[in-house]
Amino acid sequence: MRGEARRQPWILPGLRRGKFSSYQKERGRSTKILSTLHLAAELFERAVMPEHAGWIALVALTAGEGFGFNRAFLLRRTDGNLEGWLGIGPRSGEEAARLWQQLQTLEVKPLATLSTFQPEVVTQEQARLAETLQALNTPLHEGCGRWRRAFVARRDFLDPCVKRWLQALQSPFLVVLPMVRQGTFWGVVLADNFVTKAPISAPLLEGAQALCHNLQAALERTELWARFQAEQEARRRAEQAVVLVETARALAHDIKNPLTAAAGLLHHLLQRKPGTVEEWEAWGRKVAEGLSRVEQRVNQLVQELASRGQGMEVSRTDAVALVQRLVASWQPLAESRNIALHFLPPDKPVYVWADPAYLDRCVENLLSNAMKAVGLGGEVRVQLQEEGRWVRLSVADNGQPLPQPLRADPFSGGLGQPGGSGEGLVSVRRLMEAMGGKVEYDEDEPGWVRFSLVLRRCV
Amino acid sequence: MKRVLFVDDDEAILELYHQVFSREGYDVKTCLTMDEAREHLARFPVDAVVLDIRLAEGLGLALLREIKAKTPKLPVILSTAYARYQDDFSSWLADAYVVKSADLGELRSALRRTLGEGP
Repeated sequence: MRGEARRQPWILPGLRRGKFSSYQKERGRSTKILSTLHLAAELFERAVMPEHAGWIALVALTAGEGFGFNRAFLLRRTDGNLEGWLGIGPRSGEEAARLWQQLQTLEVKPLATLSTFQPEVVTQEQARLAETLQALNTPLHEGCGRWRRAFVARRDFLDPCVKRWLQALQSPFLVVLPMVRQGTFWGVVLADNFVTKAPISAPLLEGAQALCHNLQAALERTELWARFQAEQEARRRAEQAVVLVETARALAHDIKNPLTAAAGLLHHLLQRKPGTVEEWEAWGRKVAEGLSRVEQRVNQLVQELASRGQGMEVSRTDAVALVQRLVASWQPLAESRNIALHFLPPDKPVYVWADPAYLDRCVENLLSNAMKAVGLGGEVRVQLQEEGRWVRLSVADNGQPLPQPLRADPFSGGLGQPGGSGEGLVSVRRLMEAMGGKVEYDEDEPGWVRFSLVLRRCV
Repeated sequence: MKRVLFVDDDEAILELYHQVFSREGYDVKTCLTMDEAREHLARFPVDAVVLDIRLAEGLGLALLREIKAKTPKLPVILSTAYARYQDDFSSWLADAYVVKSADLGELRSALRRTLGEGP
């Protein structure tokens, strides 16, 4: 502020008014500034990383076809300091001559390189200018963060921060472009023409200020985006942790239990050494049953883990084919237990939005529950019905009705069969909801218990 | 003969307990659910309870709290396939905590210890 009061930036050397040729020259520069601003604004929109946004601004400031500064630096506020963060441009006159010659020979247009962001280029430039960036680190003294508008500072500038930068950069004069967000000083962009000593015109300064204003908005957006991403990541990790704990518990309960029982019975059998073949057979059957349960559960878990590894992918799924396949896979068991398992497929294909692996798991769960509930000689009916924009996939059985307290919400985790975790229906509900569907339960038909998966119909 | 109530939602496990501990001289009673166990405890005296934590209708820790509230001196042994339940504060009410294994030695020792039958 003190600097602004002491010197009007637009009367700096080089800005001559009144001559026609100068007027044309200035008009050309203004057009260039406007087109650079326009391009930068478009590029800022695409930036998702703060480094990208900062780089766009620095390249726009230093490109020959842009604002044409010799070099530029971006300093950001961290606690009570201003930290040299990003930089671009030569460190000396010799380096400048070499660099600009190279750019000319190779016909490189820096602004054209901005369409694709190359983080490694930014990192390289940060490493090359590390010493300079370090030298620009400044404690935020009283007054430093109070600038609101861009200004040009000379060596006799009184502000301690600016004095330090002028000294560190050995600049004859320095363009200071403060970035302020809702009254709070966020950081500053510094630019100079330490090699060419080219003067700073008023349009150039105003254009640079507008650019930094856009940069500020882009940085805010990228920060918000980064925070959103971090929150998403934290939520994903928390969900993963829950899934892992649930998996560990399921493994312990559903696999270790039958395994423990089978192995324990086998130990006991070997110690007791029954006297008759019938007794051996009876014990052997118990052990075999336990091991079959383990095998069945392992198969389920393998499928489940594979699905989790792939993530949920909802796609157009042929519900008829899926149900036919699953019912067929349960038929041998149903026959062995004298259970009538029916599925009358609809006369036309029915497609739903679902992840086939997860839908498999849900239907398997309902079928398994129904088979357990009917015991020997019962009946299980599977149906597929279109209901407007929904498809109802129901599994009904004429086994035991649910206990009264569980009828209100059997998907809450309270329902379980001996030997089961009782949490299968909770998973079914969770999976169905994740696929945009829902679960329902009813005993509308006397003597029948019906669980339904209501899926989004795919037309 | 000491009467021991085993509560577990796995029939095969209960069968194993019945076979093994009956032969070792215990009067073995088994329940598949917490409700069954509550009913049994209300009607018959027992000398110890071996309780699974993860039961079909919920966590057995609720039953543990009920038992300890009504009969604080009745020994309760928690038996579970998932060792980390030991971190649950409620499980500290139990007289012993055993991780399920085909080798019933640990459960046997815990039972003897809580029944005052030896180390």
